Amino acid sequence: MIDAFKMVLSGTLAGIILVLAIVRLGLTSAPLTSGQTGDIPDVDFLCRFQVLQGQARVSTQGATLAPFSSPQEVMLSCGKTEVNAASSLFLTSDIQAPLTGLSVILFWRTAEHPEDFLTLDLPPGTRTLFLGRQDGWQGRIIEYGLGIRGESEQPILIRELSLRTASVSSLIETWWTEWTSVQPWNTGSINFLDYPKARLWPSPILVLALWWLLASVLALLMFRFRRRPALIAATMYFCCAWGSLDLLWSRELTAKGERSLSPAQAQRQVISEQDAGLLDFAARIRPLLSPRDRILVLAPDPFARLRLAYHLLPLNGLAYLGDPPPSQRLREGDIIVTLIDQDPAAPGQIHPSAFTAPGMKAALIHSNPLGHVYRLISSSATARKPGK
Amino acid sequence: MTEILFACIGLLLPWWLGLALLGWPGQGDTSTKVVVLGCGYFVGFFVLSLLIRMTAGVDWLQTPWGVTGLVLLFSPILVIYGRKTRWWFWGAESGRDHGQTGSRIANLLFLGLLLLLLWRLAILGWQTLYLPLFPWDAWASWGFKAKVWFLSGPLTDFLEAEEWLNGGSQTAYTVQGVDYPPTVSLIQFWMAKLIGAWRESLVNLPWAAAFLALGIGYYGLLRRAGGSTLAAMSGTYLLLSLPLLETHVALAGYADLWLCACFGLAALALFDWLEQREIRYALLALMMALVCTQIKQEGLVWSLMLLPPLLLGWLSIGRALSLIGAVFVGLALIWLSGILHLELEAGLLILSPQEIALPGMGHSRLAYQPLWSTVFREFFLEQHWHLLWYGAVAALVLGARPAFRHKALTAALLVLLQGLGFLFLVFFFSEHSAWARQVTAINRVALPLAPIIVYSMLLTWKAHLGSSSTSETAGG
Repeated sequence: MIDAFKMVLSGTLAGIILVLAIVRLGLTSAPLTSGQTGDIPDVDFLCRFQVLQGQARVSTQGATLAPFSSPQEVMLSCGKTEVNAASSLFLTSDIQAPLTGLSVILFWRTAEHPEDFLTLDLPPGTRTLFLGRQDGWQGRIIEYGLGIRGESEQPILIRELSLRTASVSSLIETWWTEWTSVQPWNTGSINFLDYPKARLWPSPILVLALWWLLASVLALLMFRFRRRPALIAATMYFCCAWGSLDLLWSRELTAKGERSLSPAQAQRQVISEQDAGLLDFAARIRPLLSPRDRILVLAPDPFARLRLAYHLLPLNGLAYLGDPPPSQRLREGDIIVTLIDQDPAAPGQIHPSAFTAPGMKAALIHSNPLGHVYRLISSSATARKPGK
Repeated sequence: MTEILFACIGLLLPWWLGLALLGWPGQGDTSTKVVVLGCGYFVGFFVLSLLIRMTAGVDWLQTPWGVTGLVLLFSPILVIYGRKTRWWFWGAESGRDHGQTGSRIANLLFLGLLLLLLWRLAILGWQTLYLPLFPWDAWASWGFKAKVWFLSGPLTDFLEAEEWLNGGSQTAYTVQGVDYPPTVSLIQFWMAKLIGAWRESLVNLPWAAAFLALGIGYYGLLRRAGGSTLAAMSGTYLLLSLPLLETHVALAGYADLWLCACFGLAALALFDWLEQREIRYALLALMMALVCTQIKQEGLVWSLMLLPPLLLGWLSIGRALSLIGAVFVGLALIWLSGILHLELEAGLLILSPQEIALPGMGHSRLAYQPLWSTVFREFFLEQHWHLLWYGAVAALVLGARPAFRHKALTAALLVLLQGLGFLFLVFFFSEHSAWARQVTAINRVALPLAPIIVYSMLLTWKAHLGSSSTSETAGG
């Protein structure tokens, strides 16, 4: 009984010491008595937002965006403003949407580089976010706002969006948000699990590992170096720490799937909006091609070219890595598919002149906003009319 | 609904084949039956993949029921033959039950953990069914091959992109990872063939079942290692609750889960043989190690790591460690001198401080890359592993002394050290250090070590608790 009491006492003491140390650490990163405190009050975005794109209205409940058709983006801006980044370290948001598959970003511009729009993803369910370690959140912020993008038609309610100075409540809310936020799966998740990088608080793994070590050392002291009870105590702490981590993970795992893909995307077996477009494109060009054709998919974006080759199966294609293949490798009848990158900042699409071989020319057989399909034909042959 | 039914048949038939081959239920004790039940799944899918490969040229077997018919034909024959000749686990003797069952509280905890794991399996199963082939290599490489085979016929050739462009074959395809072993892709091909359509979520169902089979086999082997029902279930929970391992189930389509399961079960079967000298377990270890080589290219390296602990089967711990130490020192000297440069039929074998080449494993230049902070962050700070790597450090530090008394613990720590050495070489010296820098593989390449680490932790704990209990009793 006494041993059990000592065990609980060591664990509790270790917990208290650690919590105090971490709060101290948090306060160092985001001091409550910042030099700017009081200069800039909490900024309530909803009071004066402007709709840059899409439709919205304000009610007593918050801002309600009109249902948007798939896929569309809504942009809200605070308009011209003047916020000191050093004192507005916390973003509090409450964005509610009935369906999943919503992507929300915070964007801002600074007085130093007004031409640059800096962005930050707001994972679903984000309540309070620490901005103090985000790249580019510095100096004077002259504009900030939200970009919301979704596939399914749905109304979105923004109950709150405000910048706040450091306070005990914002520190605690940030801690809760950082430890419980759910990141959707991405194509790289198999290698590592996303976790907010510019976080205020240490990761739960580190905190619980430190607690385990500290509690075990305290238990060893309390048990006066008797090995057996100290070992049992250390095992108990380890199991408790593991169980707590697993609780956090279970919560995240349960929500990850449906926050990654909308039911419509899952039903169609596509992994993103871009992928859905590629699947449609593949379905459109498939009738134009024969099983004997050699297909070369060229695009600056490796995801697009590989994914299109996958969707075109069993048509025999190659997602060609790099520049167009040397002309001597090409032969008459080869199909060249060039995809147009939907990102305006991406390098331009590959021009057909880049892959024509001597004595051959590329005849356009299909064209649409996603890409073009060419067939290599003899120079003397006549090109067919593009398919629709 | 019909598709789901056929998907279930697609899971159960190979499992049955594996069980028929290994000998389940057989005559052995409960733990052995549990071990065979778990391992049978992986052996079954491996044998099935061999069957598909062998019959690829036989046209009349290329209907959905061709290979199924073979499985349905051979499994009963194997059962009858096994029972008659008492081979492998068919002849296992019903011995003592391993480890103790626990008190009422222990039983309640056991039940709680079991329910927790079943709940987790349900979540993972749902995610597998909800998501299509999601992560990059799953559709760009493994699933790509399976889809080609399903749509164009099994084992259609794949060529490197350059060869394909040069017109190497009219019918061959090209894909990233042409040289990857076909086993995992054949699993998806088999599922699609039985379902009769390429349904990405259904062809991934074997991943969720692999999670279940790994848990069953691991639990059985921990029981045989002397763990109580609660200790064995706790170890199984520690392994199966790892976020990265569960991610590989939810985002099915990679081979790492299969390699982790087969290597872990092979290693634990070997450790079991070292302690209990039942030849059936040595054969099981050999079989599972063989499966590893057919899952991923590096499966051969992992399987070779089981060779040094094998010495413990014939030599005392001190002698075996001396011999292993001498061999490693010898290898280090050869490596530093750079004199090994052989052109074998299987490929180049080079070992020098500047480069390394192993037949079938490729060639890499060596240069030290200090990636300590990346490794520390991924293993000790991020959420992929819970506290596993802290446990690994504890096992290595606290387990070193008792390892001189327990062969299984010695063997487990040896495998762990070799695994760490392998990761150190790959991530800190080879050209593959980019995988660590870009975090594209650092975690999943380490996944096969997870079952060994949990096992080492449990054995270390057991050794210390046993010895402290003895010493405290002796001390009064």
